[in-house]
Amino acid sequence: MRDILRMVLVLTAICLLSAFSLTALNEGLAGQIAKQQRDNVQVPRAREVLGETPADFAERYFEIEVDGVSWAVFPRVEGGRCSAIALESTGRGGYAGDVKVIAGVDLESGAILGVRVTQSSETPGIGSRVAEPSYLRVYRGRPLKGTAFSLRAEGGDIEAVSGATRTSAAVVDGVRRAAEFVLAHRDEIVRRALGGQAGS
Amino acid sequence: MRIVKEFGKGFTTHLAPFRLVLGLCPVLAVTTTVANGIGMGLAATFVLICSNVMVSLLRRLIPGKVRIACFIVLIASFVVIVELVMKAFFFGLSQSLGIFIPLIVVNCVILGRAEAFAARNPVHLAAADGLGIGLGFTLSLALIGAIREVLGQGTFLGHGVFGPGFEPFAFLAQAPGAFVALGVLLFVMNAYDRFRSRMRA
Amino acid sequence: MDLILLAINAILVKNILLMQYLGNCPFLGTSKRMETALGMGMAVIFTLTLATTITWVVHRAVLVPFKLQYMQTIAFILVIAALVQFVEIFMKKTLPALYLSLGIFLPLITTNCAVFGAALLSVKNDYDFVHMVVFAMASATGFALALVLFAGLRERFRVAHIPGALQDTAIGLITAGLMSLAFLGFKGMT
Repeated sequence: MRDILRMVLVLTAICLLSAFSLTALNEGLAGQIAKQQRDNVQVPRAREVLGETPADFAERYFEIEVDGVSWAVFPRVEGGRCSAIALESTGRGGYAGDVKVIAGVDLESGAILGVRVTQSSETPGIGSRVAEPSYLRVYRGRPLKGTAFSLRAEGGDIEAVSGATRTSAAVVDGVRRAAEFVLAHRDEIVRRALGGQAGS
Repeated sequence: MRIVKEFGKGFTTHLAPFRLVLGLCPVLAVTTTVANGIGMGLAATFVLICSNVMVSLLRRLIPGKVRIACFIVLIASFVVIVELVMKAFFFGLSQSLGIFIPLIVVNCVILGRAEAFAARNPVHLAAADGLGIGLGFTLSLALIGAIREVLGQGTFLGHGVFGPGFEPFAFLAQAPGAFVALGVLLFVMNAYDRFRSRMRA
Repeated sequence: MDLILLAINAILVKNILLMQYLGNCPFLGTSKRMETALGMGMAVIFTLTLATTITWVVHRAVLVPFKLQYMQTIAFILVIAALVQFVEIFMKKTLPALYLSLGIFLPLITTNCAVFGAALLSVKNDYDFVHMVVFAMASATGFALALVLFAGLRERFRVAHIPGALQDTAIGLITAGLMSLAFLGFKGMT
């Protein structure tokens, strides 16, 4: 009996010690890790969709929380004006899970500058063709207000990649959510962007 | 000096993964370049030293029946530490090594040394053992990485080695090349050993 | 349809052992004889599928909601260790013959990179439930397939004339390399 007690005690003590130290370390490093993730994954994609960006682009990142959902926004601020933003959106309905996209929006013309896929687990081969810039060009120049962001097969304006309908649908869903978000919260976005505070 | 002896055996009799035929998975996967090999080796060495020291410190407290479970929790904790630190400060390396960083947990070398040595020896010897075997492992990884990178991609640590006319053995940069490279190296080592023992006889 | 593609991908194109390098220690250790290889293959298919499923559930139900993703490594390995323990106990009672023939290889499945690796991959690829199960079973089948093929080859080695220095692990690795080369031919299939 004493043996079993000792076993349980030692194992529990080690687990607790481990849990405690790891949680502490994670808290301490979380900010740095998130920053690395942003700088190496989202920022390059955001730069791709926005074209030219100023030197402090990465620092201007902020998050807006709406209805419990946190939106990551990368504004392009030049000469005191926020001319465009890139934001990350999650599109649902992919074959094997959600698809994360980054959409670049020109705030002055109200049109999409470009779309890139940042995370997808779709079937390799045809599914990954949806992530290619040559296909994603179909979003370029589309006005946020006038476009029906769904697939042609469903009466919308966007063609799918043939053979990868569900993946294309997921990307469209992501872009649609981004468009709706920008239309609904444009002023708030610009205000936060010009507020100049980095981080969330 | 015992401590030097325990340290040194990591480069000779207990050289992983050649003499100590354990921990093969990462060896094959991450040795596409020298940088990756060294990165993995150092990460594994860190975990090995920490786990050896911890296990040695706690060796009288851990009851026999649950020792493997305890070792696993300890090793896994250090691996998570390495994971977090890498993601925070060495993002590029953490991406190249990918899932093989958490896979350090099931690296038989680490669990093997904890069970075979650290659980029965004082801290300073356990640390020396960990450091020696870890560095030996790193060296092996660097060696295999060098062969695969120089011949398979024509670079060393990212810098071109041969001129532009060099046609790399792309075979070596991919999966099959890894197996074959390791096998050939092992063959060379075995042949050398046999030659030496024949010379002595 | 995409499930079939996923399965073919996992068994052949991205064979977990020959292309993803996961599961090499038991590969070289249990492939000397066909019976051990078959037994190990079956055991891995069973434990890998079960382990991947349970860890997937733990990830979705516990780690993500509580933002504990950084504990993934510890949580997963503990689940696998516990699972193998239960499988051992269960097998001892219900399939004693198989339990005895597997011997020490059963507990060694805990440290099998293929099992832990598949669990990590299915979470990293963000599969939903059905895709995850297919991925797990297919990966394990790929492992078993490679293992059995390899055992068949190695049994031939016993009667072949192999120079001393090449014996055992060295020739094993080179052969595995050639097998891997053969599997490389599946690339572009999907």
